[in-house]
Amino acid sequence: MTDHLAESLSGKQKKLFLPYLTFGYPDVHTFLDLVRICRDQGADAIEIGIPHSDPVADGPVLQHASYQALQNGVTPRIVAETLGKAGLGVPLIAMTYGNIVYHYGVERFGRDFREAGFQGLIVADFPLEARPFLQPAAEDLSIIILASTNTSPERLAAIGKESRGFVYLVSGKGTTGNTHIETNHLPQMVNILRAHISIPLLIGFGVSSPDVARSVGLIADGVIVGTAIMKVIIDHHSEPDFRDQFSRMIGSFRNALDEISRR
Amino acid sequence: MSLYGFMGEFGGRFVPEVLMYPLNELDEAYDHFSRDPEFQKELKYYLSQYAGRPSPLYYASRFTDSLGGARVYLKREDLNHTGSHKINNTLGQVLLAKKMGKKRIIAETGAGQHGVATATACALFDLECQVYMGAVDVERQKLNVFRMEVLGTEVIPVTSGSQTLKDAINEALRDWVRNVDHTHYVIGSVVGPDPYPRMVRDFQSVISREAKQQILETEGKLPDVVVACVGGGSNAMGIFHGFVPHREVRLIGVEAGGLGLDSGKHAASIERGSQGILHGSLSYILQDENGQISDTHSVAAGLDYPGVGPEHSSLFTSGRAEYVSVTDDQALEAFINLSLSERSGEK
Repeated sequence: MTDHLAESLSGKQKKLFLPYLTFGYPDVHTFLDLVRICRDQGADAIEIGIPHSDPVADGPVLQHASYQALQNGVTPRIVAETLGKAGLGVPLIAMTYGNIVYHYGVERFGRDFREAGFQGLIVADFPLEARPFLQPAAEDLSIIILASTNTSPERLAAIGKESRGFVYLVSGKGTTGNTHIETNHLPQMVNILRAHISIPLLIGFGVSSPDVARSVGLIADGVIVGTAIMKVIIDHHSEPDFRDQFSRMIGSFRNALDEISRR
Repeated sequence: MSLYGFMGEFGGRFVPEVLMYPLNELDEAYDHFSRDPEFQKELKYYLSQYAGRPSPLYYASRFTDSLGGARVYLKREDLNHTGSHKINNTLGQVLLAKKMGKKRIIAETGAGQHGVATATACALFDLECQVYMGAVDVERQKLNVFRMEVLGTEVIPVTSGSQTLKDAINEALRDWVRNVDHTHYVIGSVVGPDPYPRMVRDFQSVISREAKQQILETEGKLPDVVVACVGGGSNAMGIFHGFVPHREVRLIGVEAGGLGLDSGKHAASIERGSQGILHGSLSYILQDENGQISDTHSVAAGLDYPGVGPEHSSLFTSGRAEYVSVTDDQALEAFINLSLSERSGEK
């Protein structure tokens, strides 16, 4: 297939900013507003978390958001239908766990989510070896593979070769929002990966502030920010000026990355 | 064994990338030490001199009479040190972790049997140990929490999800993701990503090695049927393993029927579940129509788990083993009947 996601991301002459939002948190209506704010504040794509009951790669913040979204009755079908109707005009990437996709039916998941405006799929508990399981969705969605700071150079090469859309480099060892970024180790890994890929290279996990985004952004093509954003939503969503606060926060990540883009 | 750790159509390694390194490392170390006569000799020493193996195969004569059919033998794993079969696996894994140079052990526990067995092995081999246990289980299994603490283990209550065994495994996996470099995760059943299901099976297969020899000595032939309860399925895998090649021996796994299969409150993953991915492997699991993992129930805390080891799924689909379930009430009634009929001096 044509890697639409990689094409659209590679075409940008700036550092890439991908915010993550758990679908349906704090409720579907507010969630959709937040996606539009992210789009309007210059997000290059938006990662949409499809909640799972047992999110083993997630720290307490994303666990809470997933749990609450499930309590709100969110299902994969509702995610696809709602976003399909919303027509947001920004590339969407689904982030979830293997059993959600497996149970939905991999081929059907690819078809339904492409029709809903998704271009990519990240499965947090599917390493490179599990990639063949997602093949039935690969015609419809770019299957993004994660690399980690303890991934061997040989594996990095293989991951670079197999990943579509972009390569997702996890910044250190830990669950989402609970990661110690291995700043000393990352540049070397980026170099190894660069030798094998032409698609963008993004760093995620532990990008806790615009300052961190700026320093991590310097060594990659951009960053993914999840927990920092979800924490603001969890802590402040019931305040009257919440949407303004949220908009300013998203803007501050965008600005931090734009500063280094111009260098 | 295929490349990605499948056992038939089940198993695999469905884990975050960061865990692929320690799983490969464990796979290689296990491959090496399982063929190392010195390691096997050392493990055998601790199994016999420390854990008290072999465990007896007891002919339950009165129970046999009261049933009026099969001659019933009980493989008394409850007589091992710490009171269950769990010690077979924890001695093996903790000894292996020690050889690998790991400094810290983590484990999950439901009823507390695996936690106590892990704490015991860590005390023996002098390794730091932390055990994750659902907050609900911490409350209902206080005595086992006390035993772990006496052995120098820190018990960490898990307050996420249903606060039981499944969530304790989630939390242990998250700990491992953070601390992969110096920590070994001792999984207590034949579940989890490869190599755990086969490694735990191998450590538990001492049960069937002994049982086979014992039954041949007393009966002069193999048993007609082998029966074992199945939660994750480690004691069942342990006693099935040596009999699998003998096709004339029926293997029957008994799942927890809880309040009845139609009540929705049970843990019968094979009988009422469907194929899916939980805790790193593809197997039969209990899940809803959207792939979310179901809450389970069993009067037996250790069976209260929404999945089953991948090798059981494989034995089920190939037809080599049969799986049935009994309810809480049926299990308690059988327990009382067995206790009454074997009580000395009465029939």
